[in-house]
Amino acid sequence: MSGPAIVETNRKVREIQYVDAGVEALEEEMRRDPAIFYIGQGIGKRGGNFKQTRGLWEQFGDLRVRDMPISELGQVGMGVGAAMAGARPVVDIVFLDMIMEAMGQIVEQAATVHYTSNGKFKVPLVVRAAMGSVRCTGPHHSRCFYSWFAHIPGLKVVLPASASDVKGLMKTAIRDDGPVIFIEHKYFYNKKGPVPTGEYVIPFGQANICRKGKDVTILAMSLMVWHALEAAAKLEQEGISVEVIDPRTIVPFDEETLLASVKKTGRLLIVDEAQQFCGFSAEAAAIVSSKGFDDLDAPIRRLTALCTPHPFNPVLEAAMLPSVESIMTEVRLLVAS
Amino acid sequence: MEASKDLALALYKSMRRIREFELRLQQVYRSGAMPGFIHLYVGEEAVAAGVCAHLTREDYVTSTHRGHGHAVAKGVPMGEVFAEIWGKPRGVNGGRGGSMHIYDPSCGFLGTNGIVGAGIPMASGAAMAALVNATGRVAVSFFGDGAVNNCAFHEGINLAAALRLPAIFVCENNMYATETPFDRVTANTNVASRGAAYGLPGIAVDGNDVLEVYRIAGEAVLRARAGEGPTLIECATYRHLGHFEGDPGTGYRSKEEIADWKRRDPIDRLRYTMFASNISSEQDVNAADSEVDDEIEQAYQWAAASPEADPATVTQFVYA
Amino acid sequence: MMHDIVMPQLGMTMTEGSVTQWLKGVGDLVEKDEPLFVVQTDKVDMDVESPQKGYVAELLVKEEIVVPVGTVIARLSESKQSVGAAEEAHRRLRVSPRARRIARELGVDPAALTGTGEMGRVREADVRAAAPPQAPIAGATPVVRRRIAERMEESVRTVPQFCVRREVDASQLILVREQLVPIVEARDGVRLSITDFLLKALALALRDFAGMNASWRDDALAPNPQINIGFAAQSPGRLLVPVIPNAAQRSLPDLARMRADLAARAKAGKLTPDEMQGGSATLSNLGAFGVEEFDAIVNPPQSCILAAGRIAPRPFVADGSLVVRPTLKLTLTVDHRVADGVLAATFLNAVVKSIEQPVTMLV
Repeated sequence: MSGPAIVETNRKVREIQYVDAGVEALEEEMRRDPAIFYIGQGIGKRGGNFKQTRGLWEQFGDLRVRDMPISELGQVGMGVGAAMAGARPVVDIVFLDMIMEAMGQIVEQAATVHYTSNGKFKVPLVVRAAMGSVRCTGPHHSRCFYSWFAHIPGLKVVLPASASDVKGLMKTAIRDDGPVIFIEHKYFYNKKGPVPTGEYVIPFGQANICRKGKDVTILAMSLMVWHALEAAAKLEQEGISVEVIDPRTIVPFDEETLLASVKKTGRLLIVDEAQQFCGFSAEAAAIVSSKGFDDLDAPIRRLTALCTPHPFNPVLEAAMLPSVESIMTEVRLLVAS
Repeated sequence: MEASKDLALALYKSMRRIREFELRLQQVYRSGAMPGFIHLYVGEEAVAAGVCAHLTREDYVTSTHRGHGHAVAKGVPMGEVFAEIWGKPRGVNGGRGGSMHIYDPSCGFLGTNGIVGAGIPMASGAAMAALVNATGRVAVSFFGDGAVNNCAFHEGINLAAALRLPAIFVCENNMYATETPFDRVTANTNVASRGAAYGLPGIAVDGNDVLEVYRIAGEAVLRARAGEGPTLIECATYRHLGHFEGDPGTGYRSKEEIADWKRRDPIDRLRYTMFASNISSEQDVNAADSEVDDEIEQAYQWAAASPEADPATVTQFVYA
Repeated sequence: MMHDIVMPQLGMTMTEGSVTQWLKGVGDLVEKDEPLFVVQTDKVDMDVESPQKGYVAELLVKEEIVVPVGTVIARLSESKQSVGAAEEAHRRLRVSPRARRIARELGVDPAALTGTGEMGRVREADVRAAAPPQAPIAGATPVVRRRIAERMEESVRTVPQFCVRREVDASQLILVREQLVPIVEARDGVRLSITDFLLKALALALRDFAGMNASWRDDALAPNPQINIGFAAQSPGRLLVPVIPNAAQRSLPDLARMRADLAARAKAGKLTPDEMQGGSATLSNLGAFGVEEFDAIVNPPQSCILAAGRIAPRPFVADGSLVVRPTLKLTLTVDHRVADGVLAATFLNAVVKSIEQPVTMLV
């Protein structure tokens, strides 16, 4: 299984690990702007739990790449204060689940300051974390509640799904003058993908149509993009042509690309590793059912995690999460309805 | 400590300014003209005045829900503070924040705050930015006894100590968090002693003796600027009024206690010290009083004359 | 309480199947484990038992239609009362929003369609299949134009046609119509037009000249079972010929009502194919467009087509003198395989007689 193919480019392209694409982005940005610093547990000499900061501490030292105690609230609070005081911090929470400890600082402080100060203060803060399950990471290391951040005005929410995207989106996140929640999937880190050489950024609010098709639109997030692409390739053999859209950013969300796709196909399946009830899939469905009402030839379908916490047991976990097979089943049902 | 006339008068004016500002606010609030709710600083002026006297315009301060005194002492223009609390567009934040969300980057004021303790790690962050950007600035975090049992205190202060950040943590211990007595919910009520637990100096001070506050704060600021790391200062003080305007403050505090602390009013004490030590004359003090009264009056008038907000601006500044 | 019955997975490899036979009808009681339907998979025909007792409320999938495993194909109701409601709900038209939009654009009535979607939902494909051919791209020849071209070409190529003409004094027609219009409008809510009289005249002539009420098909003359008159209804970009069945038996108001309704629906694109079949002859009236007279082309397999021009004051000879009368020029084009000159002429004369003495059409 592999991720979305690279966005068209006439640059030279090389295959590198997703995690290294992130490191490149950080290196390039930190060289460009001395106000950027990076904090988190184990991100210093160790290079990060997932090797996501490999080599940064050696290059930039303790002042700008600093190991942290297990103090998510403190780390993010520091990030807020530092950002307000003219630095550009990146706070690495590592596992998305742990971000809960810091929610107050994210929601009540980071998201709110620019608005409440009447534009006087900016909070150019990036909070980075990895979501999702990889072979039974269990209930405390698997959640995907990115939709909660999307619900808070003032926060941008980014879900890169490929090596080339993580680099381009990470740069945009760091350069953004407001708080950005940058959520990757643990599964991606050691996977290789094509990444263009040289400087490039991917703007927020620009979805990626990773596969063109005409019968069904699949909107998928993060790892589900990979599953959707695999399912689409198999469904092609059955004569069903599937278009796969990766939104890349939840806030800002590229409605136009999704609506144009549904206008073409008339059928929408949303695939999300997060739960269905009040998840982002509900928002996407609401947008399409109101703005794309006259284009729908069938009810919108959503394939998501079941409404349970993550079980550790592999059989139970597999039953809980969407899979390539269940995506294919949903598409067939969608075509028949 | 020994104080020069200039210093004493400056500290006096600073405290009086805060006092009269709060009392005028109280008047306007009681008239029903102000939206929301306010938490007044009356009685604690020595802490804000004594600490902020050491800070440059660029140094950083994070504050609390009871932060008008910090804002005024740090140099946020009083008329703009008044208008902000009043919810008017002339306010320093366009009236969008009100009392608990006062922000002014032009004097490093990183905000009063509705979330108890939130400013503590934020100040550590501002201090870190000062190091990363090599600006030589320091960050002060003001908080109450109510914050010292919060996660934010623990994490924010440990981080500052572990990273040797140029920060000063000032606890305004007025013995009550809303109406909960500090000793009812805390085993170790000696806040200054917590410094040892985190590996930074912890110093207890009579928070109503502005000259003492000034002295200790000065040492802490010097330490921070010299790269020797943060300090925790516990200022024992008392608020004369209720927790918020509308709370008489007597439901949970005895009249005797209140009267006792009023006798230790920081402004009266400084006035007494100035006269007793011949640092300045009654004439000087009266002149200072007059100046402050004028300032307050001007601030009030300017705020009162503010036009109303334009509803069309409601969606501005959500994203930077 | 309703229960869904789904297309079962009857074997590891089965991904889809069809109901070859419903063993129960809507409203029937089915017991638990009693066979409810027969499924055909790629391997076998199997009886499928009902998982519970209940009344069949809805059968959502027609026999022989292939659906994926897991599709809801029927609903059972615990109580007999809800069956009626469920039937109502099922009969309630389900049309996808997209299909509705496209139906509007193409002038198709979704209510007349059978849907292939879940629960009988009418979908885009169903609408497109039912739509008269549309021009998809500006600049290309519209499909509907092509169809008309084909038919006309076929008619001219295969049908030997000739014309007979009469100019008719229309003064009586105008008079009688004027008298009848307000009466019929007040009583029947419909406005009589010249076309309605012409339709009646043509129908009566077909009644009296059965030889003209026939079609040339497969090398033989076949009489038509009924007298059905088609009339040309113009709408933008297309020509439709709706047919009024049993025209000879209908009164003028009745004819008028049908004519108005069919014309309106033709314009809105809501005619069904049935409504354009089985005509004996066609009336084409271009009088409203100022045409004096014209030769229409026979609409196969009909025997003839009557073309009417405009009623206008023209010089006319009556009782040896030159007068000005409102006249109507008729041209009858006839399939020579069905009728010769004499039949054509007498047939046209019969039409003319009705027009000259319209009161005879009232009895």
